[in-house]
Amino acid sequence: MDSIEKIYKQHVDAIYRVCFTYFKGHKMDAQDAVQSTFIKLLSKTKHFESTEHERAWLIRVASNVCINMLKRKHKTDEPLNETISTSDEMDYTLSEVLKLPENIRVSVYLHYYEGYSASEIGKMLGKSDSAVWGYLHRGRKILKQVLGDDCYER
Amino acid sequence: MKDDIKRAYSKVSMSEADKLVVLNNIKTRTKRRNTRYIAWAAAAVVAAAAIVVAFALGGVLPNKSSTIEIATEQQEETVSQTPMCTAKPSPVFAVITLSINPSVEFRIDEEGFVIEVVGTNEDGIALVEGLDAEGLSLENATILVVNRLIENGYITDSSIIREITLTIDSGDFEIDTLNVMSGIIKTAASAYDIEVDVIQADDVNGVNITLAGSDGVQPEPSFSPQPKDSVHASVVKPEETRTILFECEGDKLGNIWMDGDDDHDFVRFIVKDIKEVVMQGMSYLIDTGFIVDPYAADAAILYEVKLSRPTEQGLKETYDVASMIIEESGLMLEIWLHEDEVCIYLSDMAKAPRDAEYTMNEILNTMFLKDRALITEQQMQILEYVYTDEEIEQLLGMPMRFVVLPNVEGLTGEKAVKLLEQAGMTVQIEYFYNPLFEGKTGTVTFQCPQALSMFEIGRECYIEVQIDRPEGHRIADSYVPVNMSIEDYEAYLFENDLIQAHLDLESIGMPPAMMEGEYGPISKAEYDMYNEVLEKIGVELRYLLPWEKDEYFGSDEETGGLGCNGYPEPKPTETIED
Repeated sequence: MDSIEKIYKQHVDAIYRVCFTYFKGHKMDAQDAVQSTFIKLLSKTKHFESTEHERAWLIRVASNVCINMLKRKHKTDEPLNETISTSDEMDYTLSEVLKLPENIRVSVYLHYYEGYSASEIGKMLGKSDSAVWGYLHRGRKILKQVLGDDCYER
Repeated sequence: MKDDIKRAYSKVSMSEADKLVVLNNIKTRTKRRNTRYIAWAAAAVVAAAAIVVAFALGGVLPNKSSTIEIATEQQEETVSQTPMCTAKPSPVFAVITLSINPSVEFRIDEEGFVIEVVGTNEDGIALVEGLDAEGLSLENATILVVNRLIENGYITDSSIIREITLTIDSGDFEIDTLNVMSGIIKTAASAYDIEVDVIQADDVNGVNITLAGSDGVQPEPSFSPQPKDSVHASVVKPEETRTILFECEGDKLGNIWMDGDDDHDFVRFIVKDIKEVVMQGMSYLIDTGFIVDPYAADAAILYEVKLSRPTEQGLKETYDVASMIIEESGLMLEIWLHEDEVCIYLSDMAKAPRDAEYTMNEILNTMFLKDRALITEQQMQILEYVYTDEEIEQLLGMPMRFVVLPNVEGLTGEKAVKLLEQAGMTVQIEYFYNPLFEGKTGTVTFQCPQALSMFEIGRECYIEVQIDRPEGHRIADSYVPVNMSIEDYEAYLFENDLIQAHLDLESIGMPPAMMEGEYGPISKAEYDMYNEVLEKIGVELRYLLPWEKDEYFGSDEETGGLGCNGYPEPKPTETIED
C-alpha cells in the first residue's frame, strides 16, 4: 500500500474542501473531519484500484464523517454559522455557495470544482442521480439569483 | 458560474503547517489504536466527573436557566422554571411560552427536544389536546401548534391586530430558538397576507411580533391589476403564449394537452367530438375572464390564445368553432388559421401594453384543481383573481387553509410518518424490497387534503425514506439498508470488496446504466444480465442475494414506468446547461 503520507498529500486538498463545504467554512471542524477521514482510511486493509477510486472512497467517507459531526454538534447546540472563517479571505461567490443547503452546496462543489458527474456524485453521497440533478439545478437557480445573470455563463 | 466557483474554491486549502499537524495526528492516532479503548475509558471518567461538576455549578448559577417568557397580559400564567438546580435534575430544561390568546408551553430538555407541549389556559388546553410532541424538535413542535392555530382560526386573514412579545433572559441559544419560532409564525401569517413585524430589541433581548390583519393594513396584492378607468386596460404578452394541443384519433377520441414539453403536466380527457373540445376550452377561457374584450372598461389582463396542432381533420373544425364563439361573443379579437395552428389575437396588438402575469398553462391548470390536493402559489393567485374566496371554497369543496410543512429531514421513516400525520397530512407509504439486504424500504409521499397550499421552510417536499430504519439515521440515504448505520454500510461495501465488483464490471465493459444496481435494488432482468456476463469471466456475484420473486415490484414495463422496484420516476427537472 502506498504510504499514508503520499495518499494524504494527494487528496488532502480535495477532502479538505469537501469538509470545508459541509462546515460552511469553519476551518477547525473541517480539519477535524479531514483527520477522521484519513484515520478511517488507515483502519481499512483495502487496496484501491486507482487513485481515482481512492479519492471517491475518501470523499464518500468524508461526507459521512461531516454529516455525523454536524449531527452531533446540532444535538449539543454548538453553533456553526457564527464561526465562518474571516471574511477577508472569503470570496463572495464562495460565501454564497456556502449559504446553500447542505446537499446542494456539496453537489455544487463536487460538480463544478471536482468535475464529477451527477451519477458519480450520487454514488458518493448515497443519493439517486435524479436527486443530485435536482440539487444542481436548485443550486444554479439560487446562485443565479444572488450572483446575478452575468455570472451565469454558457 | 463554473469559473467563479472554481476560482473561489481554488483559494480554499489548509496551510502547510496545518496539513503537517493533521498528518502527524493521523500517524499518532494510528499507533495508538490498540490503546484507544483505555483512553476512551479514561475520557469517560473525566466526562462523568465534568458532568457532576456541571450539575453542581448549575445549582449556583441562576443564569444557566433558559426560561423564556412571553410578556403579555397573561404573563402571570407563564410558568418559570429554573432547571437543573439540585443533584436530582429535572428532565425539563427550559420552558417556552407562546401566547396569542391560547397560551401554550413548550417544555424542552437539555438537547433542545420537546418533552411535552401543554396548554396553560382554557383555550391553550383545547388547542393542544391530543398533540403528541414528545421527542420532536422545537421547530416541528412549533409547526404543529401553528398549524392548529390556523385550523382553529387564530391565524386567518380577518385576524384582528395581535401582538406577541417574547422576552428572554440571556444567551444566544435562546435568541436563536425564538428566531426559529417567530420565523414559523411569520411564514404562517404571511400565507394569509397578514402583515408581520418582528422587532428585535437588543437591550432586553426581546422579540416583538405584531400581526396586523386585513382590517389593519391592506395587504399589497401580489400582482398589480390595471386601473379600471384606463381605456387600454388590457395587457398581453405574446412571448408567454402557451399552446393547447389537440390530439385526436379520427374524430372520436381526443386529448387536450396543456403544452408540448413532455413533462406530463398535461390534462387528458376523452371527448366524442373535436368541436366539443374547442367549445369546452374556449367557453372556459371566456367564462373565467381570460378571453376578454381588450377595450372593455373592466378588462384587466388579456392573453393571447393559440390553439395549435389539431390533427389534420380537426384543424378546420377547430377554426370554425373558435371563430363562431368569438363572433358570438362580440369580442374584438381576430382569429387566424396558420399552417397547422389556429391563433386568436387582439385586433390591435400595437396598442396593448405587454405585461401579462400568467401563462395559459397555469390558467388552464386551475380548471382541474378539484383533482389536486395541492395547488401552487401562482394558481392560487389566478384563482383569487377570477373568484371570490367563497367561490373558491365552493369550487374546491374545502375551506381555504394553508399548512406549514414539518421538517422531516433527519427523522426515521416511522417518526416522519407520525409527525406528518399529526400535522394533518394523509401519508402513503410504498414499500419495496431491497434484494441486497433483504430489507424492506419505502417511499413516503404525503398531502394535506384540507390544505390549499403548503409552506415549506427551506426544505424539500418530496422525501424518500427507509421505513423501519433504526433511530438516528438520515432520511435521505435511501439506499442504506434498514438494519445498518451509514458507516456500517460503507464498511460492509468496502470490506466485502463490493467496490471491487464495480471495477470488474467496468473492466469488462459493462455500460454504466447497468451498474446502477450496485448501491441499491436492481430488477430481475438486470440481475440476470450481471450474472450471465460475470459467470463467463469467472467473477462471483457475491453482493446480490438470491431473488425473492414475491417481494418484487416489477420492471419498468410491468409497473407502467413507475420505475424498478417501485421507485417513482424522477420529477421533471430542467436540463442543466453547462
